[in-house]
Amino acid sequence: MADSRSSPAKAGLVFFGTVSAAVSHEMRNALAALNENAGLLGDFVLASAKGRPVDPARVETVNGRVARFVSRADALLTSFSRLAHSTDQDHQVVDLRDIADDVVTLCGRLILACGREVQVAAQPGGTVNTSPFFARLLLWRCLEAALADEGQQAPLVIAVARSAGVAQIRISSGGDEDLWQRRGIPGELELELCALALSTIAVDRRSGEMTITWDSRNG
Amino acid sequence: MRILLVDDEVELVSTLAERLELRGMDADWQETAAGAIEAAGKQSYAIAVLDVKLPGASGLELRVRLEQMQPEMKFIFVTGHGCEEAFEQGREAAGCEYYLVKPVSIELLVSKIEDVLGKKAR
Repeated sequence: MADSRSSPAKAGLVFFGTVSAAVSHEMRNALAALNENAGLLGDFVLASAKGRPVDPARVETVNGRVARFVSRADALLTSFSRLAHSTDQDHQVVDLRDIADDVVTLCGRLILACGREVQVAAQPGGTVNTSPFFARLLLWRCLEAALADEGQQAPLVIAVARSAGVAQIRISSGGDEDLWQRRGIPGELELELCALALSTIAVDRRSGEMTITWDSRNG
Repeated sequence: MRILLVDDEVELVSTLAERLELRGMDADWQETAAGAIEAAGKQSYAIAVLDVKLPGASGLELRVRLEQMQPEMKFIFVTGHGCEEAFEQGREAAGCEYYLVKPVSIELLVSKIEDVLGKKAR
């Protein structure tokens, strides 16, 4: 049986399924937390009806929890909606920061399961003409490869930068100089994804970062 | 008779513990498998309610460790995996009667705890 990740189309389907499952799981967690906190407010009302005073500070705490879960679910669905619409056109002008933020948000549970921290550091103005879907998939392929490397603890940093007519997403190796070579990135699939995303990919020999580069004059 | 709740969503599991306390149950909570193991080393629990997916170790793996420490402990699992197939696979793998999909109503959870403990939870 052929490797399900061996072509951009198959890899894209796997990516969309993986992300959908992670989002579904996260939304269930958010619903469960909202359910418990709404239930706790109901418990306070019942207690009050029985003559026990309700502490306003406790109600405020519950209110704050509800607001945080609504905000988290909103961010998740915003990123998921952008992913869903990322195939509307073959190419669009997009902000690379949105792509980096979306991948980290949508794959947050998968990242957490690896026990690693991923940080996004973005300069403004990183807009490029690309395939929004394949750019996300390409970034996830690199991130997934880095996360799969067991025994590493250092945070991974995704930096979005613009300079001299190019815009880049740079993925740190977490201090592991041989990471990309050991993980076989970029391989044939990543090079195909780059072509679809109108970008190039290479390891920066000085910093050890995986660097995905776009011509920003088209952005 | 104490209940141990384990879920990496702190604001979910702490609220759940508070709601069980309001219903007359003694509940502690932990957000990691390591924390749960440490708690079980200090305190006896009649039942543990475990999230299936925890960072670093699954709820199923945690169950094995807790059973070694406290062989009488009973288990209920909760999961965010909503599809029917995953539910059935999870229930079989968990080897327990109660494998619940989030969000779980407090009434359902209390009734399952009482079932498992033979109505002696409160």
